[in-house]
Amino acid sequence: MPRVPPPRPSTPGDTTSPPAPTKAWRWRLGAVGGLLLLGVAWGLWPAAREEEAPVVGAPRPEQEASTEREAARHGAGQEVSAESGDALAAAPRYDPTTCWSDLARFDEGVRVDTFREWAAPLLASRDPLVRMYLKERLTELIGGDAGRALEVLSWTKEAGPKEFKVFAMALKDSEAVHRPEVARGILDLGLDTALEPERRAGVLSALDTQRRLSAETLTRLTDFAKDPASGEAGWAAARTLARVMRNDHARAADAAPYLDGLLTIGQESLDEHVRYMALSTPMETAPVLDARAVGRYAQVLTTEGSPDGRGAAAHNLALSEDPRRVLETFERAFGPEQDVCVRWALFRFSARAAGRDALPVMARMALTDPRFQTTYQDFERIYASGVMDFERVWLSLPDQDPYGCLHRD
Amino acid sequence: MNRRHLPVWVSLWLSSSPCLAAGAPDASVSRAPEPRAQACSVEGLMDSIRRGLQSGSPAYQRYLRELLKESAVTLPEAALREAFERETAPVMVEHLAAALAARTDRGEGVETLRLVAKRALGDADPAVRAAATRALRRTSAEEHTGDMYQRLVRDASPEVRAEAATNLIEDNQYVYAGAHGPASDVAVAAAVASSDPAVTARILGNISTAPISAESAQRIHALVDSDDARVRAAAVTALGGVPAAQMERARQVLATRYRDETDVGVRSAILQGLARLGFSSAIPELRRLRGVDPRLTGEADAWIQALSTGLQEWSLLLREKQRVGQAH
Amino acid sequence: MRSSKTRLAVLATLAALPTAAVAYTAVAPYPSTVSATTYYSSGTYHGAVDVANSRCNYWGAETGVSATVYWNVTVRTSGVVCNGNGSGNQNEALLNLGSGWSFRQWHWIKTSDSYDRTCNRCQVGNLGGTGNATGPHSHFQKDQYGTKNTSWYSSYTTKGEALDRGELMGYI
Repeated sequence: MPRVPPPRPSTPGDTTSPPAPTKAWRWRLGAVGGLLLLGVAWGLWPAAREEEAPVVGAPRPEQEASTEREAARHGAGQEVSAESGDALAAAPRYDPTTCWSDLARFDEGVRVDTFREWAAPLLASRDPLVRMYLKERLTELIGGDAGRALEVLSWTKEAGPKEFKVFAMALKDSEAVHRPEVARGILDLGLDTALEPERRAGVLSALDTQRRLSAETLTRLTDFAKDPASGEAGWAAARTLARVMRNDHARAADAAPYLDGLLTIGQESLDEHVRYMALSTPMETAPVLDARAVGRYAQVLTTEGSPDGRGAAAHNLALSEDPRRVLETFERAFGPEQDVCVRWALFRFSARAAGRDALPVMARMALTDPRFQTTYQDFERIYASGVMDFERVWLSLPDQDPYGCLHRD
Repeated sequence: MNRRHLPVWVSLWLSSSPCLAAGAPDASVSRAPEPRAQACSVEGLMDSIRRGLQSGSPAYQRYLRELLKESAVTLPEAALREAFERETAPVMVEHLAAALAARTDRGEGVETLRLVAKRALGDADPAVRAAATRALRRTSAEEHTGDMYQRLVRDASPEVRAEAATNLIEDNQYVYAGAHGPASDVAVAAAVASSDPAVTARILGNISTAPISAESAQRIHALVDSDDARVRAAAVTALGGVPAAQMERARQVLATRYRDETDVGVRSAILQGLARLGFSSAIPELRRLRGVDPRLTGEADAWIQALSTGLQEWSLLLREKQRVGQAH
Repeated sequence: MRSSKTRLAVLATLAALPTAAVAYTAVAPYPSTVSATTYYSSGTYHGAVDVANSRCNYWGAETGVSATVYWNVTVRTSGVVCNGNGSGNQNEALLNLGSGWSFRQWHWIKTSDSYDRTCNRCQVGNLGGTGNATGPHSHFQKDQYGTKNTSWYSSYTTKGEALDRGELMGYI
């Protein structure tokens, strides 16, 4: 039986070059046509209306008209100017949602072994809501069963991009992902060089929900992430380490082995993005650094080639068991540092490290670099007002990006 | 057959078969489903949701709820309103109310959200009032509904009062990140307006007071003398987070209050409030107070130990304090 | 009557204090292609996700977070700019996530909808290229205390991928 196309216009890939006007018209015709086709289909195929037991009601003419009126009433904005001919026509403000017939029966009867076949038409649609449902339903179907989880893992080897997203995310959120054989299977597949890097990155990310990592897994992920050939998969491996560090820290307040691995990646990887991931992402856990970690991060301040990496090191150094030592490290690093954004990091994170007690150090920094004098006065005024919490100090600053460091787009 | 006039149980029975529900012959459960994309309608979505209530899959129920909310901006507003006004089952009222509120939050007019507020305030059935109130959680309702929350926290139904308190707490955190003065002021006003001490205490103990007005701070000070210990504890907790201009007065009130107070819970909250107001500069005061109540010597020590780490963020100090507490 | 139960209540409150950052889903603001992820970018270090569509000033730029939240909207450029007008001139919608975390959305063109607002995927402007841009796109960046965080984009969203409006970009 012919399928009624989803009543959702979309323009995948319409981004890299300015479209010809005909493309805009094609889009608009497609949108209206989709609705018309739907209406026609409804009229032409009474069997569909009566026999297929749709879950939802049929579109009524007044509903369609109303939807179009809505689209006409709302442009993308109300001050659209005519930079191009297309801009005069209003973009649809909302996409109509899709309701799926037979979905209740799908939900009731689907199993892991029928999932791919039954879900195929839904996965092929451009409906983010139903894809999210499929992801969550698949997580339910996997449950705590390792066999089912490994079957879904096997699907990820060759699934198309949208399918892959559903399978891998469902696996990540399942209870079975905590079974040792499943975690091991994910790790093995994620490190399999036969797969392309983006797919390996996605597979490895299914480990992000692990509650802890064994010493062996930690070592394998660390070695992989700093391997020059690992690319985006190495980046994902570093993120997995950081994510599980957060999980384990929340559970057992133990970040040291993970932090050690991340610092090794941050110091040894040749890929700037991987190093940045490893050096910065501990910010999500906010571990209080011991002397060893302080020493390693302090080394990064003087050896890391990327200003962003040095800034990230300053960020995490601010939380330590020895704020005085950190403050001294920041002051020593400030003079030789040439990048204003790294100087800004050393300056503001001095306050995060030692609060009001950092003001004399910050004052000396502002003497070294007069660009910081106004910002110093802001910090001095805020602390004088009685605010101590660095979060509130930060929110009280008149400008949180006084040196344009976030504007490097 | 117009199902809207059927009793709920009949409707549910019909809905248990998708085919009967749609007036079509039974479909074989043995063959694979053939999902087909169709346009959505209010009635069809409501039928699906009713049927979905029987589903054993929370994922499916979440999907249907989200689908109705997402559809709210493209479905005919009149049909949505009519369905909402006609519906009496609390669970269905909640779905429709959430959809109406979603319309407003997607950038449409505020009228649909206000319709929900009207139902939350005025429906005869307390379960429906509670359902409509829940539907306003994590929405922009505080900005469009005047004194609604001050009235909801005085509702005759404890369920409605509790739902209103939860809304204020969750809005404060999830919609406004605890940094929006008007939202915190709305919460304080509601806490003060409530005659239910449990509600007052829950709100005040769980919102950010960092951006509140001087007037709100004054209202909280008045609650420090409440007869109810839960309210006093929440009030001193709230005073621990006030804006800079209010800090010195709060510090003095808390330090004085500690010696006069007899309830151990309130005293514990005062220690926390002092720690928050002063960070490491509170240590001398905490040392002075640690011997006043032997039941709280350990608590004072835990705060002193946490503050001595020199951590400069309240969230990290709380984490450290909890770690210290667990270690002892 | 004053009860010692209060202490338990206060301790329970500790864990519920609004101090931890909250998590949301970041979604595409219009039909678009992922032109940069926090891993992949051409040229200098980027640390953010870019999604692009060539139809400048046509698509509304929806706030890219699927939840009702308060957006602080800053207009630095009032005119229609599609291909950049210099660093620091980008229009910005800023979401405070608590605990020093922020999420920023840049480069849109000012419209009458460009004001501070509490909303869910509402249009704060039109797709554009204000600020440091070579073409119309949206730049999404997460930071804590001014330090970029690059872990938020989903590994299941890849460079070059076509996204529908409202489709997942990552978790913030």
